Amino acid sequence: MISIRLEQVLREAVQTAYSNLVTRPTGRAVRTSIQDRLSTGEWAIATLDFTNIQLVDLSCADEVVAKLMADPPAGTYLILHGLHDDQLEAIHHVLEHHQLAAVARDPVRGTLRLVGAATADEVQAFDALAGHPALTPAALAALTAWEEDRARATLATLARRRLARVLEDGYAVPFER
Amino acid sequence: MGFAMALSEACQNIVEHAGTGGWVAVHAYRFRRKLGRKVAVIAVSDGGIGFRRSLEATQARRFGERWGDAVALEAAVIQHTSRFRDPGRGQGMPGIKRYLTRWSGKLTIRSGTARIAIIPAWDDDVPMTEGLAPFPGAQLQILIPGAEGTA
Repeated sequence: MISIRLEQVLREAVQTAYSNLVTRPTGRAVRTSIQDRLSTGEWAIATLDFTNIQLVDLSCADEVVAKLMADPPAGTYLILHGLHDDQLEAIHHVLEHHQLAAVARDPVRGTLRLVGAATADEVQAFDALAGHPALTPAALAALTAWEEDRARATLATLARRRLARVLEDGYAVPFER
Repeated sequence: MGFAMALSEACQNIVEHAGTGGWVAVHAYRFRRKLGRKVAVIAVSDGGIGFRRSLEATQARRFGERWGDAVALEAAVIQHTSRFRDPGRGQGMPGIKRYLTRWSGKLTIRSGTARIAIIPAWDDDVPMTEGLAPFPGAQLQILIPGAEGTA
């Protein structure tokens, strides 16, 4: 697992004294730098840490988060960390625009949630996964009172969208506790 | 979206579309009679190519003979059209409009010979004005009322 501090990436990529992720050129430079870091190893999980970032505008959110989620680095699950409400809102809108979703980790409570375009089933299944080390379709069906086919299809969709990992004993959120 | 994001998105339009530099000013006023509260006003202006010329290459054919300053403003502000093919483009304007809806704010953009307005309930402006004196670039104004009791 690798943690990438966006504040540091921003300072190195555009040599700014500010901690604002704004404008598309800035977003492109930051995304390229993140992709370069991820290419240095085979990371199962990468946390994009927004701690100390002040502002994330829609253009930069699109260039950094949406484009990374649309074309994720091979084999790596991305987690967004340290976002405050305004930043989450901006990222939610750009992901929704592209019909994408991402996993965000609450900086205070440590809980995981989906942000962006996700169906009610996907959100419910993800929330169930977040409360367990791993769940099989049968276990999710028992928790949610769904038919097992519905649970299996929803978990498969989460895995296809890289919002859940497939383990030997079922599905899990993409996070190492 | 907050105030800083609206400001950022508004200013980026100059960098991305105008092909020149521009000016931005932010000021607070008291709208005692119309609103009975303070408002923050963001004004962004440039002397660039304007909305019609910015969108012409990709949009003019779609609108045929109707194409002009007013239609170009409608395409950008109402339909969120961008001249870029990147599907992530064109999100700034809806973001600004969402923010203004939340605060009952107002948006006006003048470019070429036309001016478009997104009008809150408290204002009686007109949505589109045509036949104005030509302005080569764009003038954008965002008006954000403060919370009640700020007069």
